[in-house]
Amino acid sequence: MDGADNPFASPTSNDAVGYRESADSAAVFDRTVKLLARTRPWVAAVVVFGGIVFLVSVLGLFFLLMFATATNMGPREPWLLLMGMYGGMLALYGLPLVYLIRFARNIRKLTQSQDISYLEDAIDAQRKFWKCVGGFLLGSFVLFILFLSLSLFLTEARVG
Amino acid sequence: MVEPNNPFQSPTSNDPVGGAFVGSSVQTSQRAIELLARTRPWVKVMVVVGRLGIIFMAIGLVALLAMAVTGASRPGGEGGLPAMFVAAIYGLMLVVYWFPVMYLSKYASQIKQLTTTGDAVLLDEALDAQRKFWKFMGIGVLAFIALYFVIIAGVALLGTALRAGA
Repeated sequence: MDGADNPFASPTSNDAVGYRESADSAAVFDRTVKLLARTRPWVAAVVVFGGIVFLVSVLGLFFLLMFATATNMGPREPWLLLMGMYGGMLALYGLPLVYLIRFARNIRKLTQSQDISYLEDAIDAQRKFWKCVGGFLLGSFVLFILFLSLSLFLTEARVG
Repeated sequence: MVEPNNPFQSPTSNDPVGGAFVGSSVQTSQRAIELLARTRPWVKVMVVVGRLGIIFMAIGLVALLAMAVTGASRPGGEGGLPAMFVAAIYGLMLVVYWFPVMYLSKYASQIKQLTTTGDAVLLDEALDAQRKFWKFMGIGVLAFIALYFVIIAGVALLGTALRAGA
């Protein structure tokens, strides 16, 4: 007997009961899924914009490499240093983008399957994103202080 | 009277039924809470840096406004105009900068409450704060792209007009 019209039928997994339980008896709310589903388009917008900037930067590195090879100007070391710095910056820029892509992908999987493991994966991806950006920020701050101290020290030494 | 070892007693409000409920709320995944707790310090870093930025911008804004006022009070009174223009841009940037920092701050405080109680409603609150942050960033990105195209179109039009005038 179909339980669709039976008020005494036990709830099935597709019933809208407000939350869904996973194997470890934890639950994922429908509201949680909806909130994340509404987050995804904005994350995707940031990913698309970041992706465009990343691709333009990769093209810039490629043209820099072509220019350095074709012109054969001066010693190779400054070019290599410049390209190394450019590549390093690209890697730092690309890593948070990867985590954001994972975040958006896991949200999509969560909305499709309602599986709590995708919620955990989505939260893990955004954790890695914030860790990466926060670490990058702290690193830049430390470098800034170091450069400032070094320039002050050099100026003092020159004056002295 | 509640007996700790009586298997026949009815569950009390603080008993987790199958680990899913605590009181009237639904408990969410422990791993999700743990991951969010590990997210919080990095979000706090962003909030602290953002607040420092806002403070410095506010100081800059006050200095620019002072320059604008003193510039306007000089003979001629046109010296304050550039400072006022830069101050207006600074003020706008301050407002734009304020919102994401506020959303991130809310996100961090909701995570703190969530880790204390484990209530799934607080997970929703935290994720809602995060959604607002990403919405703001997404709109900002789209506005930036639109502004970029407007500037390109403006420069192209200006160039055409100047060429036609010459």
